Amino acid sequence: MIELIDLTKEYPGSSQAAVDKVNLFIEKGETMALLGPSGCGKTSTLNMIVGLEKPTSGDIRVNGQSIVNVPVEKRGIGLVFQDYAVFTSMTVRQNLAFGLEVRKTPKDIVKREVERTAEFIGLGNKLEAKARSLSGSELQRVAIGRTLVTQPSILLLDEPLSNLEPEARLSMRQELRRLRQELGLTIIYVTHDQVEALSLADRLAIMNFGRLIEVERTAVMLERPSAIQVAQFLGNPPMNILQGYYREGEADGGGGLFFRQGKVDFKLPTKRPPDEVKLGGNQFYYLGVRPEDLRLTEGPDYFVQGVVTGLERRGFDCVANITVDDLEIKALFVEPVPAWGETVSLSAPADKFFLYDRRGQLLTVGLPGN
Amino acid sequence: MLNRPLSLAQIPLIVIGLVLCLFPIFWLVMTAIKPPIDWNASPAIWIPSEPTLINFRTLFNPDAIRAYGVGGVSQAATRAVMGSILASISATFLAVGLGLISAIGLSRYSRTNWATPLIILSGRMFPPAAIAVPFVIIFSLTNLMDTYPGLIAVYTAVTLPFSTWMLKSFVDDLPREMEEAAMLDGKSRLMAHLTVTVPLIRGGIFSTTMLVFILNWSEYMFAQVLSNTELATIPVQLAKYVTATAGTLYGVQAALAVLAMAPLIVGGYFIQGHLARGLTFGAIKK
Amino acid sequence: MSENSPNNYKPKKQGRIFTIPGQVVSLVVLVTPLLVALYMSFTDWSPTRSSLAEASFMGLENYKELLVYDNRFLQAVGRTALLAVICLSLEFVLGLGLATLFLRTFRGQRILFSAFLTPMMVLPVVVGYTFWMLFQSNGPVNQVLALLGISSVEWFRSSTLAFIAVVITEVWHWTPLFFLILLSGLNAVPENPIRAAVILGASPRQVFWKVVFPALRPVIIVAFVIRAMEVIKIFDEVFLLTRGGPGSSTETISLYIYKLAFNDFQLAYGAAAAFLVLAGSLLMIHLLMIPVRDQLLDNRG
Repeated sequence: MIELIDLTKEYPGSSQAAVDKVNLFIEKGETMALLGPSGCGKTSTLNMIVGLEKPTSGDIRVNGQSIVNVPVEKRGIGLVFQDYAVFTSMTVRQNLAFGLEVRKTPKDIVKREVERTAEFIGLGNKLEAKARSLSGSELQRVAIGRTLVTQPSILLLDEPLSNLEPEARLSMRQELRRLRQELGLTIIYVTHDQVEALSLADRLAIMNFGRLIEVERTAVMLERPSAIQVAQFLGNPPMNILQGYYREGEADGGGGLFFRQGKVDFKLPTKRPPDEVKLGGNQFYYLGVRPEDLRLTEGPDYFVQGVVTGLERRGFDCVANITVDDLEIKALFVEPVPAWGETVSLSAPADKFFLYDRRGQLLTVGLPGN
Repeated sequence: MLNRPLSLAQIPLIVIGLVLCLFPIFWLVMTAIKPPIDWNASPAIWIPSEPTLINFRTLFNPDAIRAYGVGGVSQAATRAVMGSILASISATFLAVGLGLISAIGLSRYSRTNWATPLIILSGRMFPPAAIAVPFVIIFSLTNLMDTYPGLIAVYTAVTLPFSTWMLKSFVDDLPREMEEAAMLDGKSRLMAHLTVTVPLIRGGIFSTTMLVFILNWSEYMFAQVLSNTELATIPVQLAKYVTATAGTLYGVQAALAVLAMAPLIVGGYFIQGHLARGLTFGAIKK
Repeated sequence: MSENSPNNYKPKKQGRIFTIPGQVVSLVVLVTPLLVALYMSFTDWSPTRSSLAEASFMGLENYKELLVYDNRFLQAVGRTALLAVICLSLEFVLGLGLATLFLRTFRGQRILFSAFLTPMMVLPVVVGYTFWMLFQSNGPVNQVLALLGISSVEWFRSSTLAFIAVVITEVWHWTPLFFLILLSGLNAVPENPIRAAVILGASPRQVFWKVVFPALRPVIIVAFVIRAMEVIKIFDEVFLLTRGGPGSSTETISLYIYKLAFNDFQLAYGAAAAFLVLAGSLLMIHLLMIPVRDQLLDNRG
């Protein structure tokens, strides 16, 4: 339905392309989140889709038709800005009517559409209020409503929630879900906040340095992050990634499989090396384990033993920094929470390990059983 | 969106604007380097046949022009130039110094209301001819007529509200916390301001000084009505040339005008960044 | 306005000392003369007859004379108002046009920006003298007009032409101020509402009038107020250019007051005229600025 083909944007004077050969296909009615750190090319991509910027090369197609040369106002694409960009000198009514009035729509239709939209976004009783007197989430509603009045087929949202208070964010997320369900709009959603992306999107597209790293259904991406960049991006705090090699333990030391990074041996809860890996100091791998999968253990079969060197309570849970030699890993505890300075042993279930090759591509999830 | 390149059709507009904008200055400078024979030629000569500096020399040595067979320059402009420098610089320092203290006081220790800017603005609104009247009366009684201290007092008084208000807008931009930190360190209020506030707004002080200087240097009417034989400034001298010998001394007048204008154009260039703020009494920040 | 004042804690008494020097100077050198002038405006004093102390108090006689019988004063007021309206409109249109051109990017922009500001830096006396030269009957303006087939215009012998010469001089001198103020205003207009309007289908004209102009309105008012104040005071340029002539056809309020006070020595009467002008302009400016006063006062922007 909307298709980006080798989409590229280069700005003069910059050696690196802001958007680098992005290929993306978005189904009708789908919500796609573009996720990535700031400066990764998300906003440039949106601007090119809506028509504020021209691609350096590549194509954008809607229903198979290229829209690169279609003027902005004829694309049928709406964009909601991060700072809402509501016309502050106008009333809510004038804001909502703007897109129709500039197209010389008859007055009675404007009135009807504006009032219908105002009801829909829950501002039916604030039509005559000056935009500058509205709260953040009301401004956000006006910005969305102002776009919906023009009946776009595709709605682009640029960081729509990042300027809102936390409570407003929650209710606005619900609002956006309702909007998507009731209108069946295709939505492309730019954010750097993964919670937002995970809670709203059908699929996630992760961008970094102008490139698309991965596009996948939200659930799949959480279960099997296909590359360490993706794994490091999702989760709060993100996955612990170790880099080193696999080796078998000495017979007198109890045997078993170890992952060694630097001088530290991490004992893996299996005896048998996975088929995908080779053992030995010259075979480099990445190994991932999520902070929330690490738990305190008593027995001798721990994954790692270290000292608690940092605790950050976040309400219901607590992020702990565990230092082993010169390495630091993060663990997430609910209760009980160890004390600062305490030496703790941690373990994780065998199926919660993520195995990556030397290039950071996913080999497999989970270690073989005993 | 807004930052598109200039379109082809807009280039002539800029060029026409530039020509109109610079032509009068071009004409003035050309006249200043014309020999007497070109001064008032019919039709007017745009670029002098033999550019000369004789007009500038005549300003400081009235007899120099006699070499060209022209006489009648009654007075050298030396005294007017010195007078302008003396009056403008002294009054500027007084107005900025006093203004700085008042600005800190207004910004930090008193509440401004709508009346404050109106009072300050009204000082700039009052027809200068009317302010000049009581000055003339009071100065006659106090023997300040036709003296530099008198003129400096008037200039200081007239530009003080302006410098206060402009400096206040710079002090307002500074977070209080910086001075408060210095005061907590045991510095006195005055020292805190001298060592913290003042260095942080030195750019603003420089711009204010320059703008106040421009106002003083350009002033004509007060100097005109307060002067008789002792007091002289460049604008008074310039107007005198025009009135006394209109039509005969174009080149010498133009030379004086160029001398008067040059420091302002150069100074104005350096304070471009703060010009909008200064001229709008701080209403516009950039 | 103290509600939105940045002074969010109580002013400390000992700090008030900072405002004293300024207040003393203002009191001695500005307020005293003004009070003298105010008292004078209620008397029939003229230095050619007696000292101020001996002058007889006449109440509002001078004011009544000015407002009811003095046609020359009323004409000067009207002329100044007309001059203000014409000059400010032209300066606004030209300044806005120029500022819009400077929103585009082109080479040499910084230098051209400085060049366009130059007229503003020139002393009013020098401006008056320069344009007096330009408008001479054998001057360059007439030379250019001759090329267009208009021959020997006597700028300073016709009331209308002399007035036009004053307008041209003023517009040349002060369009840069509008240009400067409007350009900084335009640069401060947020970009996203403009983008939003474009996406919603607005034409460039609609974008300007519906989005940019409302955001620019306070800046425009400030520019008009400041220039209006200057036009009310205008003296130097006109004095050097036309001396108010021919007749009194280019005589502005300031010129009239100057002539009253320093040519005719009617100091008391001149002072009364000045206070009328002050009251009128204060009222006008107050009304004009109501919509932007918060912006002007809230100096934290």
